[in-house]
Amino acid sequence: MQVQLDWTGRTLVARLAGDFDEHGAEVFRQEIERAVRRRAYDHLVVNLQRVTFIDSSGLGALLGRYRRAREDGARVSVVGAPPHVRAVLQMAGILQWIALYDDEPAALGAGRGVVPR
Amino acid sequence: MARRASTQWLELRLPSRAENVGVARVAVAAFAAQLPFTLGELEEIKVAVSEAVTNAVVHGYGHDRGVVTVRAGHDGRRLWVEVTDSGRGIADIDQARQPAFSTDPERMGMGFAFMEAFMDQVDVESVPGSGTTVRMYKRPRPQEGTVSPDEPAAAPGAAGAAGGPAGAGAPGASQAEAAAGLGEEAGPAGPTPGR
Repeated sequence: MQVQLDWTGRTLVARLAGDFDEHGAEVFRQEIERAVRRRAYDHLVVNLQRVTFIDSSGLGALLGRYRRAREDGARVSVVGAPPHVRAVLQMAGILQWIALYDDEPAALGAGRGVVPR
Repeated sequence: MARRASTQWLELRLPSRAENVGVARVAVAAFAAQLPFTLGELEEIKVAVSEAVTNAVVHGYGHDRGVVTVRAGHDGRRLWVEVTDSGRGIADIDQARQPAFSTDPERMGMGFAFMEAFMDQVDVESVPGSGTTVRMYKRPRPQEGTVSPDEPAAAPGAAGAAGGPAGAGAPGASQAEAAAGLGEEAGPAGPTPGR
């Protein structure tokens, strides 16, 4: 899995591409941890539009970032999960904790006070 | 038993590495496509295989070197998949199968729950110190008229949010309760996303 990072102010956008499994989870965890160690953030947006697969390892890595973000006083959103990825997120109940948006502008807009769906 | 009846089969022996989890699930899904599974069902099979092989790599061998053997077969009607490791084994299988058994904050503890939700039957045999075998079975669902090919949400247990991960600091209880009710609407109240 590939992880592309992009800062907008104190928002870190991570665009993932490929399979978010055990191996992808290790890559994701390392990339995000390295980025937030260097720079303060209050919102992590994880773009899943190009994620082709997710299992409980990927979900665990998302959950780990969510827990870390809470400690850091930040929040986590996910964006654009394809249908079969979304089904797994829903089944695991992740979306009770992490807001899902259709696209990045919606997630970024929510940071300015728009109530998430 | 199932194996002897199978007319088509597959066997893979893979080094115990996270990178090989994808190899296993893609190979099994390609094999499973010999049966009339929908694309959604093939996605479910991929998740189940991924969970079983990840368990072997992460828990069976604890990231040490070892071999994971993946076998699959079918008799034209039902698929079976068997994932075997020669790792440390599971002392208490019932406990390991409980959702949210994991105490690692980076893990969901949902591996067996996903296998059970996405396959018709999951059997686990394990001997502490010598390894674990997970055997899973799945039949294609009968097709009625037009079926949306990529709708895994129609899977048993996939409907509705089933509660979910506990928030920071409280990994155990609420997650276990939540996952015990997979497929039901009720889940423990959690923090609302966003602020």
